Amino acid sequence: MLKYGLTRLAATVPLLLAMSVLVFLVATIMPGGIAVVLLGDNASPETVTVLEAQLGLNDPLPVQYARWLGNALQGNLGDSWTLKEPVVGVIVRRMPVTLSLAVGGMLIGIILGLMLGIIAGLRPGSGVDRLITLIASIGVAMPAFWLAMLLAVYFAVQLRWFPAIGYTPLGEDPVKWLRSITLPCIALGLPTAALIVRQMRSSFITVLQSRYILAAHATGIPLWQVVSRYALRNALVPVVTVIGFRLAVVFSLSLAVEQVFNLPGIASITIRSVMMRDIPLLQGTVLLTALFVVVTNLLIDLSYGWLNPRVRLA
Amino acid sequence: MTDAAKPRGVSGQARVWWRLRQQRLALIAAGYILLLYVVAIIGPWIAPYGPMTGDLRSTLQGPSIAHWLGTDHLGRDILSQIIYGTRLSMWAALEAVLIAIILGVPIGLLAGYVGGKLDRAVMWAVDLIFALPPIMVALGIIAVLGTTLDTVMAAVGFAFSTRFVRLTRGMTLTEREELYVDGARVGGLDVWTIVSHHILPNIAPALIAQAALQFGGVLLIEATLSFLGIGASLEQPSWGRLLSQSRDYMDAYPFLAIPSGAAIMLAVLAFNLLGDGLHTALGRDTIVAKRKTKRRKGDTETQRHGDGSNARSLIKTNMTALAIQGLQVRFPGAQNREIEIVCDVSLDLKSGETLGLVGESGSGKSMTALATLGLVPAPGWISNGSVQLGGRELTTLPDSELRRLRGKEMSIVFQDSFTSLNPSLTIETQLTDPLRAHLGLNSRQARERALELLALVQLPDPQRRLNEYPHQLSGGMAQRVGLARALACQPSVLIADEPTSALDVTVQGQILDLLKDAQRKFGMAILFITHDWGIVAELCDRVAVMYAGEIVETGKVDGVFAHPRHPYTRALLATLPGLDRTGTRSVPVIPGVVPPPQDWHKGCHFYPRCALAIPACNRNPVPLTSVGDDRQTRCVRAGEEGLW
Amino acid sequence: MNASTAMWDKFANLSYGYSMTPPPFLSVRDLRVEFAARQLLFHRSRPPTRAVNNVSFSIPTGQTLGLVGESGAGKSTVARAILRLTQIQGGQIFIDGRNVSSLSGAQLTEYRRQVQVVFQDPYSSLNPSHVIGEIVGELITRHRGVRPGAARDEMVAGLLQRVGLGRFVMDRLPDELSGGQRQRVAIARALAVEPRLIVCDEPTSALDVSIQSQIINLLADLQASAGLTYLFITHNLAMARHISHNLAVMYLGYLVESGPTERVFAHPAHPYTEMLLASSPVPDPARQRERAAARSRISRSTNPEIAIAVTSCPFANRCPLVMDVCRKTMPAQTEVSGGGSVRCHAHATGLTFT
Repeated sequence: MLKYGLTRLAATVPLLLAMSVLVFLVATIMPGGIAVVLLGDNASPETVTVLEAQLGLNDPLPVQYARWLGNALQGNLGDSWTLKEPVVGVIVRRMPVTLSLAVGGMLIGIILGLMLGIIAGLRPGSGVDRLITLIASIGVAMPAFWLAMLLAVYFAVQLRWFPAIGYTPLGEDPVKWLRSITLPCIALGLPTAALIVRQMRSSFITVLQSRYILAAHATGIPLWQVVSRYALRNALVPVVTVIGFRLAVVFSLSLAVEQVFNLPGIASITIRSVMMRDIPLLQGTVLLTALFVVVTNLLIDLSYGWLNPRVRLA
Repeated sequence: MTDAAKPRGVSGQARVWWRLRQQRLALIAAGYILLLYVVAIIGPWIAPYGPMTGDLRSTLQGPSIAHWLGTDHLGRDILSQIIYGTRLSMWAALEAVLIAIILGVPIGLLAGYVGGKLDRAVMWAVDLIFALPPIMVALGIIAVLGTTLDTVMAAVGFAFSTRFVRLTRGMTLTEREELYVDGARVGGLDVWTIVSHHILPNIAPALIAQAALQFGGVLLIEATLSFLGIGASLEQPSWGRLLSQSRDYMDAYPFLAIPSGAAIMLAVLAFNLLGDGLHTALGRDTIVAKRKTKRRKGDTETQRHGDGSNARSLIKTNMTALAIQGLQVRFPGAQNREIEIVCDVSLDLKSGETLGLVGESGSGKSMTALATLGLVPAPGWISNGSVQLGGRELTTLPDSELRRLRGKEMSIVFQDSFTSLNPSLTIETQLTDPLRAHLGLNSRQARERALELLALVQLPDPQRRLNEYPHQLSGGMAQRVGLARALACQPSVLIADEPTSALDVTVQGQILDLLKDAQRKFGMAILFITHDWGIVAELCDRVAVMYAGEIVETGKVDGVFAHPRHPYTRALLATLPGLDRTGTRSVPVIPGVVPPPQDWHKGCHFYPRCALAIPACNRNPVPLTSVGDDRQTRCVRAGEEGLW
Repeated sequence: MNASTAMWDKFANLSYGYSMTPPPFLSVRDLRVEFAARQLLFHRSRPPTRAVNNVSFSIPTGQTLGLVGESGAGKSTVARAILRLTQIQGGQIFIDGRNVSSLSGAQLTEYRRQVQVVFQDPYSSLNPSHVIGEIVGELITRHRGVRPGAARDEMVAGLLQRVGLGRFVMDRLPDELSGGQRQRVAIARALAVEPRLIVCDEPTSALDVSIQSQIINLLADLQASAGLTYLFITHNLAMARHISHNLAVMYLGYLVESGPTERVFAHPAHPYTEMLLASSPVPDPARQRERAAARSRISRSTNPEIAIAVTSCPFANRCPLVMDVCRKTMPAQTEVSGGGSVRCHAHATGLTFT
């Protein structure tokens, strides 16, 4: 298992490098070039040339990339053009908000999704199953930010159980922190749960119909043992895939949810960077997403290995 | 024209339509999507107001006759904005999905079919993009190219194309392994023809279902981007934009968030339901049958095949280990009909003897075995008959008590040893679980016993094998493990369901020898299910021949081989090419095929293929009758002298 | 003609030493196929293809060679090599004396007109989304230039009639036919190009016992009427005996024995052939019980799971007659009295089981 884990870890290095190339290229393929974007369309050609020389834009691309990567590895992604401060600092300050949402939302989604999926999959066609399936279908179609608004209207504006907007850091006041992220996490978690329910249910049904479950029943071991030990583990494999996809998406889904609750996370700076073509800031946020995705993929790969001996021992 | 039997069932297209019509939710969803596109086309003519026509005297109003869905903060009609938003969202989604398909499918087909370096290069790049959330890919492209709606949807289409590449490639890889592709290559067809004419039609249904699902995803992303203010510009009414505006009035007028949000959700839901429905309807191995909770119908139903009482009385000693009487298994069929796939099976198995149950595929022999163990897979059920193990009736036992007997008093070895072992559990777990459940052993005792069992089935290096997983074993070894598991608690009855059919003949010989040894040691009775008459000849004391759900003949092995008393047995034995038969280049044949259960005749099931058939055969169900020493046959003409 | 060719022809004559034997239609010489290790994660529906080492045989025109052996023997790989579905690493394949192992383009297409195939699994070998008329007619269009239409339909109906099917199946999908009917369609498709050799890769093993003999009879009738040559691959010895003029036995990629069918059955020269014969059950209780006893004596001592050296005889770990030399060197192909050849050290010393 350790060997398997290390190989997976090593495999992420080229992936990260490729991502960094992509992120770097975003800046270089801007129409007109960076200098024009920085100076505006009305800048005289002389000033553009001067700025390009200053920024080292006349060097060959690999040189520029090496310089950029070298800086990035030292934690320097440059200064944001619009915020006029280091990108890394901005991201580090805002990261905890987005991470709280992503982790909380996934936890709610996974726990709820697995539970309901198993209940539905155990008795396919029953009333409970049909109810769960119906709710899950609606949940999958529900835009997370709409759900966030509905939750905010009801629980924050009308019932006043939770704050409608704003964020309290964990270090400042844990209870307030929890209250400030509860609704956003639910808004992210419910659609995620719906997705997991659907996959869990269908793969559980498939596994329960398999030959080895029939054979396990034939050995006469108790029903709960057949379900928990013989069926569950195999049924989880495709579910883990779905969770992996969702982990990558939940990070970007939280963009819209953050906007609804006016949380000071990554969302606002991402949108700002896109709208105002703030390239260093965009590179920072995309790189951050990529890093997050790579790390989650690694976790997913490790859980495959844990679930499936064929993967681990290959 | 020996095999030119009637074609079965309806034509393929009719069946697809029938399956589609079964998916009622999907049909409703399709209707709704159609409506959305109609609205998208004729929107400007049916919308009561212009999308931007505001009336500042009536802002933030609730639903009224003038404004069915109320007005927004600028007094604009919500319904009209939703209608114009439909136009925008539906075209945008169509644009993105079309771009995704046009980009993704050809690349996937090519990478999947050609394989090798091209495939690896393409998939590496695709995986790279796929790993990123589509919305981030879109954001990156938008940042570079600008934020017009067309750019945005092209970016989303590009991001989604990776999904089509992956899906298409995966299915192409699977299809490429199908023999018909080899056949097309041997037929001298070129790559283009094979890909477009042979592979694409087979993966198209799944692609269409996937496209419907991706529509939902694209709609959601479009709405999210518009909500964030990136997609549609301020002048363009879109669902996401409407929703984002309502955010400022959450306090004052929460209803504003309902219509646009519901519009998004319903559209996405419709595409998802359509995709699910298409997936079910177009899938190659669709199981349409619904689960029925019906259990034994019991005695209210009149038995079709007589009561089989004459069969019962013949060999009933207190030595009987397993007695099956008039067993019937039914499955729900089309149009609420019930299909009987095992009809009136009666068997007696004495302690220590081996009974062969022979028949072709579809004759119901495996289902008989599963029914004996109380393991008829849903939606089927035992509709009649009794199964007695050591004098104890099993069909009325609750599941929990049946479990205490299964694996302990009565166990089974399956044909395919690999699929009957759990791929993610070690051999040790799978061997010791039943030992611990039935014999109450602790884990150390169970492990020791498991080692003994593996030694018994002559698995080399049992210590190491215990810690291994099924995929690390060869077919012969896996079957030895299956046998060890079945023998674990020294059952009095072992059911062997074609345990050697998937193995090589030399390994088959070793497994048969093992079975004989174990029987000598434990004295259990074996019900050996097979289609191989050679194995029956070697292993069995008595044999029961099954055809189309019925036992047609039973008797002692030597007698049945020497003088078969049923036309099917006789014809089948005659068709077998023997190792020592020489010369003749033409084998006698039985015309026709085993019919599927819904086509079984009311009278003798073998009637349509029988060389001795007379009109009387097709009138009534034929009972199993005794013809001499321990021999029964199900034939109208069984008593005719000179015929046998 | 160089020296090795001459030697090989001598060997071919030894293999099928009948004076009346027609010239070989298909000859395979020192065929070698290797495979790089495949990714383990890759799930495949078909078992992985096996390597084939220095396999040589030939089939006289209008006759049948039965190629027998267990799974992993490489029988299907030989078939796929002859069908040009897999790359070969060494050796040559001759059709009518012409080397076809490196054909491409139009020449390969021309070759495909002469050699066709009937696969084992009729559920996978017919395109599930094409109707029978298209499946059979497709090759008529490709190789005989007849466009889809009434004329082609007539030809398809004629082919279907030859294999015992009515023209009503033309607009059916494979899904709507039984296994036996599908296999007939596969045969009709092969016949569509009027081939001279048909490779039959286990054509009956997916079928029910009562259907198998129907297909066997059909193949035999077609051979008699059209002078077809068959390479008939099977693991069923009784089937092989029934249809083959000559037999070739493969084990783990090597051709261990070949010769006239009667000789191989009456006097097997290789211990593996003998084990295979002893292990095949016959439907006769008294005889099979005797045979089973004999089989147990032979096979009980052997263990296929023990690893063996690359250079040794591949059968060394299971052979009851194993000698030191067997574990060191691969036996050469030697002549057998009564026709054919064998690769066995023990054969030279005259050892047998009995």
